[in-house]
Amino acid sequence: MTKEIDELRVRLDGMEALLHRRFGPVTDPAPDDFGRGWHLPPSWWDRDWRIPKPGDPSPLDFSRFSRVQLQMTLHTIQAERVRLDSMETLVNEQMKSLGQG
Amino acid sequence: MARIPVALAPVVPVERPDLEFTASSARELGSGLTVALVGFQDQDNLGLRYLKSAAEHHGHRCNIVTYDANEETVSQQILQLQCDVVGLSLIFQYMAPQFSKLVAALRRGGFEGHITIGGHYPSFDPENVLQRIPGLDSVVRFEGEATFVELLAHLEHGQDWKPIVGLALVDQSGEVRMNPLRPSIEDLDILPFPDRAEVSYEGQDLPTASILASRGCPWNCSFCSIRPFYEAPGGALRRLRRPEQVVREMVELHRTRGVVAFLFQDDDFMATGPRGRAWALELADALGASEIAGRVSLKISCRSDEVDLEVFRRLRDMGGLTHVYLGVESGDPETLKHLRKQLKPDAHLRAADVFRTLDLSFDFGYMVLEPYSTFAAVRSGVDFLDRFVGDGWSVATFCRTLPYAGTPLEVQLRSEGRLLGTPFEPDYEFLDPRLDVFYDWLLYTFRRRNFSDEGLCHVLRALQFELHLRVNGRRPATAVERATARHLTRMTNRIATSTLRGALEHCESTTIEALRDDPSYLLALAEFEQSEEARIEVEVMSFYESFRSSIGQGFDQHHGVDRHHGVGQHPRIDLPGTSGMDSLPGGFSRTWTVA
Repeated sequence: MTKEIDELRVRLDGMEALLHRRFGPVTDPAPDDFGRGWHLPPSWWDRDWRIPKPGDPSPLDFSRFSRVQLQMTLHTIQAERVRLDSMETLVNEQMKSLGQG
Repeated sequence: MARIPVALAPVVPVERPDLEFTASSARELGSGLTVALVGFQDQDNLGLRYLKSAAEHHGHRCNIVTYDANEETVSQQILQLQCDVVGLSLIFQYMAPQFSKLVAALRRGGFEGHITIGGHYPSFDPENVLQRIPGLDSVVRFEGEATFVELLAHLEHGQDWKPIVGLALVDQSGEVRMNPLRPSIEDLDILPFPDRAEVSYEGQDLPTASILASRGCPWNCSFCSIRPFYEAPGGALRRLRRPEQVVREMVELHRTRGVVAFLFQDDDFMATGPRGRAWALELADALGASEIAGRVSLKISCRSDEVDLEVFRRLRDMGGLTHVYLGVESGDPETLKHLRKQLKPDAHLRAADVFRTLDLSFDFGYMVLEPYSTFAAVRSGVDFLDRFVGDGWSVATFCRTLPYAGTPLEVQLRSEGRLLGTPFEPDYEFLDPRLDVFYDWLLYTFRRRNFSDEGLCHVLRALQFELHLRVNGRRPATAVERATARHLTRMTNRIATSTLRGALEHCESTTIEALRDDPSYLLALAEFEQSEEARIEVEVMSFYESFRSSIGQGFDQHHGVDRHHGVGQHPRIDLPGTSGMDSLPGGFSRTWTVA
């Protein structure tokens, strides 16, 4: 068990180190926009516009969702569709390569 | 569109002063002045290294000092060198205020020697640079080697340096004076190789060096200052080094420093039509015949319409090409016209097909907004990203066009009275104010993803680059590893474009007043996107780390890990007055199960 934890620690440290290393030598990142004059006042971002949570997520009661909540639900569904489609493509690619072997 | 203001400098024919780098002109190192050359060291900063080699050939001892954000530390380092001259390399226009602080710190610290500055921005806008950085003595404009060497010679011998061609300075009356420009060096091969002594290639996981095989670009894109930079002093718009000289430099770097990956920093590696193609192929063949054939990987940059299947096949097979940076900029036909790219979106699609056929990785620059954008154009640009890289072959990144100094776009915006901001940080507003709201939201939402070292764009680009490498002694990535990287990239791309479309649709169908009054949807969308990115980041990091471990090159632990910003966490972005957005609305974002 200790060995597994140690291995896990090394792996996590590696991932953290990866996050904080610079990848600069490969390509130029898009330029940051330091000159940008914000067109929305600071208060725009600061207002408490968070959507109240509708309560227990299951069972879903869409009748209690606001328009924005419904819109975000659609975005979430779309994102999961993207994930699943992408995963399906990956699996099919692998199946194809096995078939060739 | 107006041409760039070359007339800022007197248009006077200048005799080209001799610039000797032959054995007979070499002086003993240390027999001249002591110089500090200061700049960023990202991607080797070859500009500084060419200057160092040129100056050292003439006996001046040069020390390269890495610029970082702390001007006091940097100035202390420089002062300790007890140098005679300081040369500053200003790459990023927006960094001018920081360089101003550095100059002030040097003067405060008692430095009385000559301080000069060079780079693209000071070359185009010496007036503002000299007026706003009072401790400066001069600006070395445009290509710097010859002017800098001549400046050092004059300073060494106590001669009047003010008439030197290629310089700008403040004269006795307090006015900025711009001397005639110095013609560019005709034959780049007379220059000594850039000095890389301080670069620690040996300490890198994958020893990677930047290299320049040419200078300049003949294209006339509205957002770019490369052509104006080389056009202003006259001479050829693109100069090529001899392939055998480039190969000699690469072989030397491989043999003595262990470099296995070469990033060609040429403005456009394939430019100038048949001549450029023939030169590139000659270089590829010379590499194929050299001792580093099959042992190194190359990255080049070019335009989409310069990508030809057979030419790139030979660059891959003979030269070791594995990665291409493509100047795509936009996939919307109208935007491409505004940007003066002189090509159509199909050219991008054809180029990407060539890369897929040849199994080359590529990444690209993309400006989803520019000063004349409409909602239709932005939507068309976002849709194009799905067609272009929706399969995850490359990561979709996006930003807006910036009106950098010296670009035709800057001139155009100024003439229209639309150029805002400061000389160092130019800005503009879109023609439709709702696009300003959209862009503010875009920056807020995608800052980490698109613009940070930790964001998905940067990490996935690095991953794709590594997975296509073919270098000596390193296991090539397997087909399934590449497919997995494409899967991760595909999700990143598709979710981002879907998010962008959601915001676009909302901004277009809402009045500006309503957008300002009720940010709830846009804020929720930002939170959603960042949450999705965080999920993908965890997968990407895990995969990247396991790939690195499998090739015996795990990431080392000495990169200053900040444990407050762990995997998948989005640190607060630096916006004025932003408050936290704690979770997705509905509270069920994690209830979906991924297969």
